[in-house]
Amino acid sequence: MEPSDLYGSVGIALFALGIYGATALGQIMRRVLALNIAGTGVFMFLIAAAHRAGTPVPDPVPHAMVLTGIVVAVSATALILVLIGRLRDLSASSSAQDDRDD
Amino acid sequence: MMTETNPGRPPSLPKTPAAGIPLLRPAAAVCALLIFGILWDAFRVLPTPGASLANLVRETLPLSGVANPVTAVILNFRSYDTLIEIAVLLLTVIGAKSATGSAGVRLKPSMPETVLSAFFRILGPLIIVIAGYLLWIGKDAPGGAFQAGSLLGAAAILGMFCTGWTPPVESGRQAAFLCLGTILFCAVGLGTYLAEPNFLHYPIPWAGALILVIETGCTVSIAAALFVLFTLCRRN
Repeated sequence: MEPSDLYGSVGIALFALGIYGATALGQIMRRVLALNIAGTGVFMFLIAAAHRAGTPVPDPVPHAMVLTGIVVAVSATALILVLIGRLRDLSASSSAQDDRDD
Repeated sequence: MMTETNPGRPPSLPKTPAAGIPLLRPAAAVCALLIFGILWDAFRVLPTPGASLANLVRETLPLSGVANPVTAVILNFRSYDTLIEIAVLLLTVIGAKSATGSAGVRLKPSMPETVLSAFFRILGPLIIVIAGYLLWIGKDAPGGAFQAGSLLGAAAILGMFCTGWTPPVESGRQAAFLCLGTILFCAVGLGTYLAEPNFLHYPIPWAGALILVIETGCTVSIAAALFVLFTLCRRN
């Protein structure tokens, strides 16, 4: 098995793991992290796909797409974190229940 | 459910709906395994010498104005995607600022520690020089606007921790830094649209200079956006 096949498979596995985490976990921060893991899996798969052509230099277009994707993923995560902070502020007076530990 | 607040405990997040759905975890596990199986099978049957644009990029690289293929793809061949990406970053900052709104940036200026402050006097200019180097070397080697912008944003955050400086809530200079990348990129696009009939179609002798101008604006903009997003995330 070529190295790029292994990296591609691991990327797909990380994506599936992230999807599971985003739906099944209870706490919000863990779901945000799971979505980030899914995004990282997609990036890993794109880099592996760029290497499969057999040319001396790997395909630079998926590399550019991954760079763009990293910036967009960071922006989206930052926005989610700001919204979580606001949610926490607004719900500070309503209840003091702990999140379910999982 | 309103319970009496415990004054000693920090406010916690409300319970998410996922907490009470029965059979959620097995169902999600089955779906994740299905997703993995389908995608892996699709990946497995791809033809072995994969399709790629590497040869096309290598042939047109001398016309692009830079020597690094990834930089040429980002800032010349697919420059429209990069324009949209910088605009998305600015939109994220606008969204985050409007979400915090009057709550603003609630960072208390802390007492500057002398050792960290002195250390940052040495490290800060060094980071700025390294970021400038990363920006310049993007023409020939991996580098460019995003790497330099991330480093500058990290330097700003480090400076905030080391010297106790906190950014003002409303600042025209901050807004100018945030918008600079998008405005420069759109200005170059408008210029190329008026000069030649194509949007973001750089004239070949000017391609390298235009790419450098766009990258410099994007570096400042990315650094400011990352710094502002970090300060909006923090709560004291």
